[in-house]
Amino acid sequence: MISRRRFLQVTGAAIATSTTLAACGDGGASSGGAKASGELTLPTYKPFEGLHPDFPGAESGLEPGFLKFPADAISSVKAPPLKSAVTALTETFATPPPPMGSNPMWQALNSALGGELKLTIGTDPGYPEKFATLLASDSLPDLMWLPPNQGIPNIGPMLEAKFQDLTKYLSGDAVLEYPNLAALKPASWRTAVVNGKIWGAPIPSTPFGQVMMGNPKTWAKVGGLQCATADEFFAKCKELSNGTNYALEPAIINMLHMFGEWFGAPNGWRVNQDRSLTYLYETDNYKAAVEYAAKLWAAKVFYPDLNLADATPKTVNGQIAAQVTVGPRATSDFRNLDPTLFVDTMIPFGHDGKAKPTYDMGYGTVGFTPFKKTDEGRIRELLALMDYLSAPFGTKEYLIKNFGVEGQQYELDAGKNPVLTKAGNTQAPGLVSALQIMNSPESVIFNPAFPDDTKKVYATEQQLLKYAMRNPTAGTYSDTSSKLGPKLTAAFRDTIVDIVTGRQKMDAYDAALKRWKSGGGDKMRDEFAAVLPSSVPVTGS
Amino acid sequence: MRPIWKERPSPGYQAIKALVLGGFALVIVIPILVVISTSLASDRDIIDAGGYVLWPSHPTFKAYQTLFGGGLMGRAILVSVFVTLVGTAIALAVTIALAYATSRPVLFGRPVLLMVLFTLLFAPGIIPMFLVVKQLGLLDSLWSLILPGALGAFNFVVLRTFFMNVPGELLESARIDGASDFTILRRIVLPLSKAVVAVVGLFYAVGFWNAFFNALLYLNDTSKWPVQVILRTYVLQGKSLSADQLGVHPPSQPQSLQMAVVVVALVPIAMVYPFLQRHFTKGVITGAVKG
Repeated sequence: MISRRRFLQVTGAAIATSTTLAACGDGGASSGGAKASGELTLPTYKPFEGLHPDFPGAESGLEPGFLKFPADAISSVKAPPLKSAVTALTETFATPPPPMGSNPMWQALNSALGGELKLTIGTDPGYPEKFATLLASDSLPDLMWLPPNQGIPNIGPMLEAKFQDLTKYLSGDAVLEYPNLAALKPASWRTAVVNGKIWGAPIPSTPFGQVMMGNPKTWAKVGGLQCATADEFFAKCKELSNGTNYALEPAIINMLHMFGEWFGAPNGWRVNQDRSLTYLYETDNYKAAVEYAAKLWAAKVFYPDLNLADATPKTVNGQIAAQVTVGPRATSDFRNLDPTLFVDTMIPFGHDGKAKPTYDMGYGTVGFTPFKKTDEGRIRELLALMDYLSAPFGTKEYLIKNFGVEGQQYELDAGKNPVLTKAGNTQAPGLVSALQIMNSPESVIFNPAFPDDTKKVYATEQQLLKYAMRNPTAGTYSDTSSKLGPKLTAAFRDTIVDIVTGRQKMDAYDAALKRWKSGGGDKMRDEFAAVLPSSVPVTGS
Repeated sequence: MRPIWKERPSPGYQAIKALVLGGFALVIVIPILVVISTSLASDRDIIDAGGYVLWPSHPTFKAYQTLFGGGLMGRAILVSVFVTLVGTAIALAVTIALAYATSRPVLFGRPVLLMVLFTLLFAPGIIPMFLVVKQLGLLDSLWSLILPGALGAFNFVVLRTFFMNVPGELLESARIDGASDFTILRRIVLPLSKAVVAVVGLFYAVGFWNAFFNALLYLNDTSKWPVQVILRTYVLQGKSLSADQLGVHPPSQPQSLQMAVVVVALVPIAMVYPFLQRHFTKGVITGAVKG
């Protein structure tokens, strides 16, 4: 089993090396893509009007919060988008849905769209292989979801050869013809720009990155999860660990990511005053975090089984006090297991109580969906489909895409929130996951069963944003990083885990760093530096 | 004095043996028991145990009801059974025929053919295979799971080696009696090779039952997916590396549901073993001695 606990977790480091494989905001260095991208006019941003979140969102990344589903959902498109059937390759992260023929929700969606949406649904992992085989066999569907960080190489040449340039339909004010696409933020659109051209509608996801979460009942014994210094955290962890119960889940790399934030380590790369780049591993901050982690390991506060696949049940029952999750909205995972439990989210703090911590934001999109080369009429039809499937939260189209038809797949609860019925629970999850990964509106916070959670998560996001740091290379492309990044990262992490768990001494760090640099790290730096957009600020300024 | 192996073992020695063997048995039985127990456990049991459950205090069939409620699992079992039965039958027929033909010295061009077959030991790339499957028109058809794997080079080598050890005199005498090659194969060679055929058949069956990757590549229609693909999606949901990198985060399936899928995927093929085990041991020993 490939466990996210043990492999390349999405830490700041992963984002720099393996997750910028493809997003290509500024194209390849060789084709002058960076320059061309600078000249491109991104689609005009025009937020969707007619929705009133209880907590407003912000350009900074703060997600709007809704306490309940907007009553009397409004329509965001004028007419059904399709005249004929459309084929698409996508991926589901849930269990696969019943096929179209025996899935009334899918059929209802088709009739709302005006044509059949024939999805080829890949599973996870395995998507890059499926993508590559379809591409090589030249049997392309109309639409193919293109993830930014799953190891699909040579994005630029591939797009030019096989897919449709959509710049003239989407750049500047042209996008206003598709209001739901115009409501996607410029930061999201950067993902869909390669070689200075727009190749599809971006698929926004939460812009937040990993956080540490703890069970408040466990942490109450030591005065709560929040700490002011690394020493205080150390003391609390020690007090909570006694040989049967442990303070921390054994996901060393994820935990290191958190410690790194307290020690001021950069999100992937640091942009120096002279606009040169320094990688996370090269900073003293990260090295200090590794030493700190080794100290914690020696104090036996980590759960000892490094192969633990999922710490969530142990966090719920108190055997483990804290674990690292994908982002501030993951509080709902714990609610699923224990409806009475609302976990605390750790707000990063300076390791000595004085230094400024950082909070690493996530990637922010899951890529874009390019079109197979075709004629203008079909392009307009497919864009209308994208527009429909990108309908914002709270609209009629959003309901049909995510919940189906009232009375069949969903019902309204006492608070007028849509809740899936038994039929909906069978038909929806796999289909909705497949649709969401190829098209999405900007994300929102919404917990219909626990509206109070929405308020709390919104407050947490506000606090995290004070320390927010984005990866300066996000949206740019390095060939070496695509090819060697994951391997180099994995090799370096092996050494780090050895150091933390006491199998190697701290002096192994420098040797591993040297191997990382000569193995391709220095080359990655040069490639990223060459395409670093001038809009990216110097880190820490 | 009797030789030492004819002495009655001392009770102490017996006890040690029982302890060691019992220990090994436990090492094998406990994980399976845990899987089955967890599949029957309630949410409360799972949280109390922090994940895996050794003995559910509130047993429930909820996980199985959920699993078969969607309809996908029932079909997947049928698909897997079909692919395994038909696939094994076809694979055995093809392999036996080829192994018999190449085991006879009279075959024309045998070295060349063997050289070609030798290359089968090396797996082809994903894309060449996909192109072949596509051009044969097998995409989205269950035959795409059966035909590409119908000849396993390793199994072919095992069978051929076995057939070559059938004494030539037997076959000659049959030929003098007027038997055709087909009759010789059916009446003489196969009855002598039951054990090895059972073993190779089991290899094929387990291979077909466990295969999932081809299904991911060649089948677009989810109703044609075999059990293993479903197993994989249930167990990996919410835990995969790429989902984390993308920041999409569907909640993991309940532990009980994951283990229920494991049970469903495990039990049918495990049930085949007791019936074939007799041949299995014999087959392996025969191979070992005759080398």
